[in-house]
Amino acid sequence: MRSRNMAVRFLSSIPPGVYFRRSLPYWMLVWREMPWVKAIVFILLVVSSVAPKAAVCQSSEDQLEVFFRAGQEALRHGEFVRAVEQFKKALALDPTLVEAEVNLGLAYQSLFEYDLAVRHLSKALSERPNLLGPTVIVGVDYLKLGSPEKALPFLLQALKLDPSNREARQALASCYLGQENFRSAAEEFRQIAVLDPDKSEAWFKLGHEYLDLSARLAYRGAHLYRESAWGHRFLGDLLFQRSRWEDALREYRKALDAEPGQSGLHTSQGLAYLHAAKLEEAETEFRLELKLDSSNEQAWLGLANLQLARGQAAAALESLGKVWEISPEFLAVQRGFPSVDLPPESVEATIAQAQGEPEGPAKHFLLATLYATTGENALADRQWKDFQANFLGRQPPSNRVAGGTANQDPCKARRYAACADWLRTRNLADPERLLLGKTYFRLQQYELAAEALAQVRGVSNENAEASYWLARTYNALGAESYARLEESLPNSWRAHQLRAEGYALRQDLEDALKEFQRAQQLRPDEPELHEALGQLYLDNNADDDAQRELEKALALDPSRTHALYLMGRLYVQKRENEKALPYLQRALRLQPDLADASSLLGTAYVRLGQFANAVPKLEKAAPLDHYGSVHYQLYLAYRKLGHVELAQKALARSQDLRRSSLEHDQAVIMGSPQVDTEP
Amino acid sequence: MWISKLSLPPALGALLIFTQPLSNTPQKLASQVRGSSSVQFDNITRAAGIRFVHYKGSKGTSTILEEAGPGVCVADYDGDGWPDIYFVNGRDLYNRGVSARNALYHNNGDGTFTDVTEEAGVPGSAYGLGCVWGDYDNDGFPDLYVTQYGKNVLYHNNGNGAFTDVTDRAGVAAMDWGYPFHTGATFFDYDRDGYLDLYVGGYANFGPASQRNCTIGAKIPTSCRPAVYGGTPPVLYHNNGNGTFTNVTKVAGMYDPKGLNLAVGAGDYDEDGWPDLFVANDGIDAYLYHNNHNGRFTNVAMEAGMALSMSGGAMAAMCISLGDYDNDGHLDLFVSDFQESSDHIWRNEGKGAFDEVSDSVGVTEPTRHVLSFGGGFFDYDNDGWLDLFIANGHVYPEVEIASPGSHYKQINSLFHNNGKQKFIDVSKTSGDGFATPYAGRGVAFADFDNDGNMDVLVANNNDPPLLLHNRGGTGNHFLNFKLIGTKSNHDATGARVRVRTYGMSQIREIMAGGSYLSQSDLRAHFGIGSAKLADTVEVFWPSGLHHAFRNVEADQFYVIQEDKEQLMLQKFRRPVLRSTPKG
Repeated sequence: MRSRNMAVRFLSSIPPGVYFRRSLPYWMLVWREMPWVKAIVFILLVVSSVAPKAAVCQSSEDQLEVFFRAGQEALRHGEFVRAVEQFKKALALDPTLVEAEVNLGLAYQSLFEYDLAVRHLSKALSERPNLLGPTVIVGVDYLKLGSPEKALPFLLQALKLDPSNREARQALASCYLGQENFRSAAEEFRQIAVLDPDKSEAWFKLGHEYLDLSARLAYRGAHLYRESAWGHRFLGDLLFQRSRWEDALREYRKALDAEPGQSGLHTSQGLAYLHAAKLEEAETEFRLELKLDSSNEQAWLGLANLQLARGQAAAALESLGKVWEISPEFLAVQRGFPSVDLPPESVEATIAQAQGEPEGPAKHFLLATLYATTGENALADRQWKDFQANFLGRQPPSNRVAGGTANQDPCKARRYAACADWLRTRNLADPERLLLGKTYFRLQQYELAAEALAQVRGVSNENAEASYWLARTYNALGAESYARLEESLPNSWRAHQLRAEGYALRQDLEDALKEFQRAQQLRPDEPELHEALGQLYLDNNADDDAQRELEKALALDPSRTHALYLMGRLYVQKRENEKALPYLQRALRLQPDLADASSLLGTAYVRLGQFANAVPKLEKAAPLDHYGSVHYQLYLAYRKLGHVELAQKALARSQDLRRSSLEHDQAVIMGSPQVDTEP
Repeated sequence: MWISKLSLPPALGALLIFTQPLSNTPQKLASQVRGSSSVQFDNITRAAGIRFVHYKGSKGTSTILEEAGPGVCVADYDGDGWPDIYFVNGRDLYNRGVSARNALYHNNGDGTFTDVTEEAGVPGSAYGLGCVWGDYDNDGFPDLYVTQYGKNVLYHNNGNGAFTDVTDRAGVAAMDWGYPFHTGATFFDYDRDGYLDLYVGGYANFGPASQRNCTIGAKIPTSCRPAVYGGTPPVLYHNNGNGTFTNVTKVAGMYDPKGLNLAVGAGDYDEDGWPDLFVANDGIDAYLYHNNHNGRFTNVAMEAGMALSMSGGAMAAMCISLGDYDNDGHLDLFVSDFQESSDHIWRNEGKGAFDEVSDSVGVTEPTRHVLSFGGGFFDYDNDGWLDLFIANGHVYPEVEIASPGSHYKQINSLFHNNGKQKFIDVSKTSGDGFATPYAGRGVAFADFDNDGNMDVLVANNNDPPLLLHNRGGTGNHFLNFKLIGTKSNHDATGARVRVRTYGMSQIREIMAGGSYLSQSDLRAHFGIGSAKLADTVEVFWPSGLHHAFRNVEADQFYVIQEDKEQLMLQKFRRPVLRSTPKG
């Protein structure tokens, strides 16, 4: 647990003698000005007459030192309750002793009494604002206590003190996420990656953070804009990423029903059909997109993919030629083409056909990408060079329309680099920020795209579209991070873990297990791996295997809150609700803001008939109840407790949420075979 | 007990009418072991002459339709005292020339059954899903309603062994809204006018142009879940009393276009004298339509606490069974659910609310790794406590590839109610009837051989059914009541019987439908343990009439007729047994 580790590190850095370098004038002042000190001395003298041994002991300063050292000793030995007692005694003697305040705070931190820890550390920081460790701890603790607004100033202060402090940056990112400030959160994640000397770790985590941002935006979008095409499009993309083509198609269809003319929807649908091997339907969709906009590069690219799948090299070249005509810049960055898996014999045949076609940039592009898929890198490189030569040698577009005097709008003309340059010179309102973001997206300059899109404000149609593209941008940034990891460190344990997670997402259990096992061979004592494997088993109802892995994870690191939560989930799933309690309770002690654990603990209590215990846990999870199930359980609990009005309110809220959220959304995303629950 | 394997068709030879029941005599019972001996169930399907095999008719990967059925229904259609069986079948939807039809099996009273479908004229007319028996015209013979993909069919029982398709005349084809996928149905007299009304459930909006298949696991094609298609509305038909029905769905407040109805069952859960309707929905909240006494219903499932599971999630609810498992006088509820979701039991608190007790009574863990369909409460050992039988079987034949360790065909479950709020899984020790896995679907309970022990009949998807004979042998006593309404509907659907013995009080409510697209024998069977007498037997008729009988002798099959204040014995016609074999 981060803050506890921080406390330990902080403690180990404190030299024992530093706190008693007080000046004589200081102590004279204390003696003169603080009657309580005199009183203590008097009491000690009285005590010494009654208990000579005690008297031999000490002046108040000595006693202070004794208490303080005893507290430190207790901290070092993990006797945190005793440490609290000792530091309290020290503070009773000298309430201004900052060091004692700090240590008391650390002791409370170690006891997971975050509110008390925050209280004492904050007090210390008011005297000594430059203490890095306590500053970070207070920031992190405020987050745990559900007060990100209070956490923010401490975390910013911590970064002022030490810009390289990764814990502070991570916590700050969480703060920003809580405020839906995705731009600032992303910046923090980038900085953390820069600071991490272990690049496999850095890219892995950055990739995860970007995908998490993307998913947050997608879920948020699906929720906020659920009646609009964007909401369904968000959901459709989430499903597409999970290779659930039919489910994605269903969402895209709903999006089209809501907004038949929305740009890109037919293309998304076409791509889903293409991946589902429904080529005719795919072609229909691409052509429908082109009917709406004959210059839609993605649609032409989709057609080219389709034509390759059919072995129609000439047709594919024609489509790629169209893309080149519309936007050479766009084609130049499509290094991921083709996006469909082609059998090797089909690729070879296509290459042979393409070689017979007239020279041109489209042909160079096609051959370069096809040679790359067959691993003929030298040939691929040569073709790329030829393509680059075409690209660089193309005539710059005229800024005058034929016979006219006006400049052509570079954005409308799909001259994306020029468009971006032009937009950057202007004061941008939201529509233009959106356009800038989309332009950078097309150029695959994803960081710049994210920067622009994240600044579109409010909950509006524009924000819906901006959120959508921002989600896709973060997704692309995540993919880039992963690509760097795969290219540079393909045999690292993180690379294997990444592959495992990808397989798991696509419900390919067998391959996921293989990759996890490979990762574990490289890092047998990595608790995160055991935890991830435990979750995979749990999600696939292999309870015994899940339990084994999660227990290993907790043996290696007992403070892993997610592992604790998963153990709780395991037992709740097995209906051994009593056994779930200690795990969930501990998870919440370590991380009080863990809503899932709170919700699940509430469920366990409901199932055990402990309704009075269930209510506060469910109430805590209620704000994040998207599908009404938490409120339904609250209804049951209130009803059993005889709180009729509260029960009715909870039931009404549950029904509202169910009506508006449609439980199948959850099941659709979670991929349960049945609602549930899927889901 | 089963007498012999002779299978004389009832048309051949004279029939003897016996006035004595064929149960064991009290003397014989006295010599049997008392107490908690394990009851065994034997698979006697073939021995009983049942040759029916369900045909799901799939081509390649199944569709949702082809994995849904079938149900099975039990009733004594010819009034000879022996419960008969109607099996529902699929059809060849791909013009491959495969012939398949439903089947009516006549119980010969000697341990065997005969397929009389042709002469009865009840083959069904389309892809069959479920069925329900009900004497809708109160002529004393149960009529048969079959739910199908397409028009449903109502067969009027002519009383002479034959039936007539009266669907169009009656107006109950259930294509009122244009949706073909019909599932569970039940007859119940919702307005208490003495005529059985009919509720027909609507399921997924699956048609010829619908998506046929989806994927599970890593892109393995399989049938799709119902949420892919969305739901369709049910139909509530009011019986006009003249052989015709009127669609009153909207007036009654039951028009629900998103319904994914599977099992439906009617029962008076709040004891206000009016039957309410429970609807199991597949993937959305379950419904409890409270009868408002004025021809209208209100869905109170959420308020009653049984719309969702205890954790607030929707169920893939297949089965509805109502029974008082804890003998507190209130109808409790069993609902089956999907694999990894566990099945559910709710205890009726008696104040219009239900409390899910699945975990505490012990059914959740044993049902977690199976996908449960039909079943319900029945007292198999006659100890006075309702036990539980569940038919299991997956809906994805491909599940074994996608999820190693999961099985498409599954063993059924039997739970013994120990009378202390616990259901104990005794499946593994209950005989060869639990040895073979099937894709189990509909279940019906009946004492087919009238030996005082409840038997079980399971309809399996694309397989022969399972007729499980209960060997009995516990030494416990029973009572069996056939109710005949005269002012109330003839089937006495909606009547409640209460039996008190030695301080134990049990109730049974006569209800059609239930289980999964199926129907059990309407006779009320009570196990009464070691008691040889029931202190009181009371009947609460739908008409409002009340009968009470005292010191009722055990181990008898009684008839209680609404207009007669006396107990009579049921009559069982038996075939003549030849003393020498033919030829």
